[in-house]
Amino acid sequence: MRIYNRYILTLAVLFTAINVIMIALGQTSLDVYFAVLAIASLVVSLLYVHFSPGARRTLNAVAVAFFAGFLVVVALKVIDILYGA
Amino acid sequence: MASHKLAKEWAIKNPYRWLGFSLTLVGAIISPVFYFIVGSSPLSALGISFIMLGLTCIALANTRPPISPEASQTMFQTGIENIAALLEELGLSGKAIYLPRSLRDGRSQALVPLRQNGASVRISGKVAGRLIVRYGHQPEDLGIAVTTPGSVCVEALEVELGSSADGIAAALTHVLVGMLDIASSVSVNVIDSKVNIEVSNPKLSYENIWFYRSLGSPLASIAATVASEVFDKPVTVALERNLGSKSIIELEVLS
Repeated sequence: MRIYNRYILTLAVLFTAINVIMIALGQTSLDVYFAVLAIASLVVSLLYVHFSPGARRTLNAVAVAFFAGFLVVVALKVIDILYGA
Repeated sequence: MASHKLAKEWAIKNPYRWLGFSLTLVGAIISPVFYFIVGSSPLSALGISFIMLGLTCIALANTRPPISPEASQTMFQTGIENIAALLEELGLSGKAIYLPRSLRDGRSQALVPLRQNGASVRISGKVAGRLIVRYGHQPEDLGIAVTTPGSVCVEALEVELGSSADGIAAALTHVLVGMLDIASSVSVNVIDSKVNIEVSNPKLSYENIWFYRSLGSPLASIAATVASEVFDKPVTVALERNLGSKSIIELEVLS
């Protein structure tokens, strides 16, 4: 199996597992889902260190986008805690 | 009909892009539908997973070379046959010596000497950047220097080469597993001047042809190039064995 296929399959299996576990735990907040999925994606990308330099650069760009999304979620939560209620 | 054919061609040419766009599109449609209409966060999260997976696939699709594996294989085979013809015509059957960049004007190459016994070859200083080269002071110290797949891979390698067995293993894993995807793992053991390399699940195996007898299989050739760069010394392929799903390569570092 090609390394790209392995990577995509790993992400797909992990995302499915995360969604199933969080549904089983009764999680209903979309922010939490996104944050956990983003972290899982970052971890898997870090584990695949042997990608070609080109693939590494592109995946880093995707990881930065996911991390930015994660930061937005965290910032919204912080704002909600500080000024909400 | 024409658009269907075009889409099929596009999917075959770059399946990752096709998969990526499909997943992103499906995710972008179902996520807001489930969140705003159905009111289900878990199902919306499923849509978000689709989008994230889709974007990753699109990103990976852009890193694939524009030519097909079949075209790459054709060019690879052509290169091998041309070098084999050259070696055969010149009657060079000695083991090739892989030279590091420092001995070969900035590009690591393989030197095939006129002498039959590669181990007896002593390289005295830098070898000129030509096809037919003189590497010593004796009249018979002549050979041809050719570029191998390993030479190109080492140039494309963007990691720092270590100076130990771990350094060789890391560099070889980057090249064989990450860049070329022709093996699943690599382990390296260095004992004095011998470097033993075990490659798991190699997709290119040894064949008893002139090119492989002289320069080694592509796997051994890449391993020898990387080892020569790591040690900054000439290296030769001493032994190569295929054990089912494993390939054993023994390199000798020359002084």
